[in-house]
Amino acid sequence: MIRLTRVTKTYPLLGMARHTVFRNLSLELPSRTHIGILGRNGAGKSTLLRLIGGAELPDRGRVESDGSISPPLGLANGFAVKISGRDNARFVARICGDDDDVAQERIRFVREFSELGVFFDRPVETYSSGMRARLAFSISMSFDYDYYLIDELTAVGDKRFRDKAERTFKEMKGRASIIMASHNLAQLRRDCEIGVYLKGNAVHYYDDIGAAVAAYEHDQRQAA
Amino acid sequence: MPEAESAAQPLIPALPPRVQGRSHLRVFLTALHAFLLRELKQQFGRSRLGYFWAVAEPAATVAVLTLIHAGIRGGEAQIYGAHPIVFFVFGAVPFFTYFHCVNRCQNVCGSHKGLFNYRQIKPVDIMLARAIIEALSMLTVGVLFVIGWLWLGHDFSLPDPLLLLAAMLALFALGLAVGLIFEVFGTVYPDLRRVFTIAMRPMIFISGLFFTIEMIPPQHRHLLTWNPVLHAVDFAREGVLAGYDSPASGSYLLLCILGLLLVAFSAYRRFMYRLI
Repeated sequence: MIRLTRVTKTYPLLGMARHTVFRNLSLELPSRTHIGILGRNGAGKSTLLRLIGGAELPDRGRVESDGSISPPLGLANGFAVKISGRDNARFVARICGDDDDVAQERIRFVREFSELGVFFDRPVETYSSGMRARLAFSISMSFDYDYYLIDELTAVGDKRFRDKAERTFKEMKGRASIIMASHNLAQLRRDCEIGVYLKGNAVHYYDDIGAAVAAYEHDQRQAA
Repeated sequence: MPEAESAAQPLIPALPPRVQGRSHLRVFLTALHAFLLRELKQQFGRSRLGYFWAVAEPAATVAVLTLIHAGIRGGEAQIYGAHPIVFFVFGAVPFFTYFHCVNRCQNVCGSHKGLFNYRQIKPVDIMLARAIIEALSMLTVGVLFVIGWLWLGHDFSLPDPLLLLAAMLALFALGLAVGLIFEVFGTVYPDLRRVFTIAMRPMIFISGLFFTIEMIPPQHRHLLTWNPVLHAVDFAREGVLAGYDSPASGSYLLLCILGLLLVAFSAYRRFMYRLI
């Protein structure tokens, strides 16, 4: 499980002012279940994922987990655009400590899983956003983590890729945990069991994703 | 049926396990290594023009300086017993080592945001990799020049190669420290970037690219010798020119490097989470 204890996270604004994203947030996320994070733009979905992934430190409080956590994967994935998808995959394998043989095996998997075909050996700047997402998703899936953090990534792909992602998630159930932030409510309801709804500065935890989506939809209708 | 398919053949086969429990140093070194290869590929991989510019920029500077020198003093005039081209090359190569190291460290944080999601990558890995590549390519330019110079039938002697290498290392360290300071404070306080750009502009004129400390009139010398880059470039000259005995101060240079590195890494550590 991942446990956040009284986490406070703020960002500096102009002058001395600070924007508070979370104040005294305590949250426990179970392992081996898929968790959907919803909330409006700017509610803190990506910040929550970055806190869990350790890319960001909380101002106060602690983030603990009992397993390994993938880096949060989003659309801004830091690929070097002038080099090929293969070289980017090799780079990630390298920084994760793979030696050359292991990296080869991983790259073979990424090439097949991403279904990029000839584009796998072309510069990333020639990719569409869906293709970049496919590459990022495939690289992430080629490593064994206990928790995978996915930030909006599977929303941009074509239908074939989304179906593949869905089947992957289904296969992972009981083995690893996917924590994903998304605006695609149907997808969240289909792929996840547990829901976390970020509403203003408050965070609501739902055992059932259906209830979380319903609460979110209810609030959106009220506002409209 | 997608379900039957996935049951028959798993989408994710058994893949090699992730390497775990690496030491901090190991993580840093693998990240640095990966970045060295990645930056090389980014810079030189796709267009051969990358190699061309690495040589062409210092060569063009040397050509201009040599022409001006020949125009003023005549084509055959020597400087400290050496051909003016040798004199200018071993001002340009050391100076551009420093200059490029500083410049390549700029805008690293802003343009690699997505990568910092990987916990094992920190901005200093990228800056260090880039500075190393710059220093090595300037060293290569120097070696290429010497090979070409001998090939053309000229004489070349290197009285103190170790001093030249030490000077190049000092310029690399200076460039990295200043580049890190500029990048850290420039990212945290964006307005300072303009100040840094202006501060770097006169460096090409006051850092000994086309003169030695000895050539500065004694009454003005105390002003220019505050600049540690001038000292390092002067040491590089002393290593190449048999007839030159540099008045540069090694202890001042070392003190500057250590002081700047201390400021750079403290600021980097202090503002680490503002950078990523």
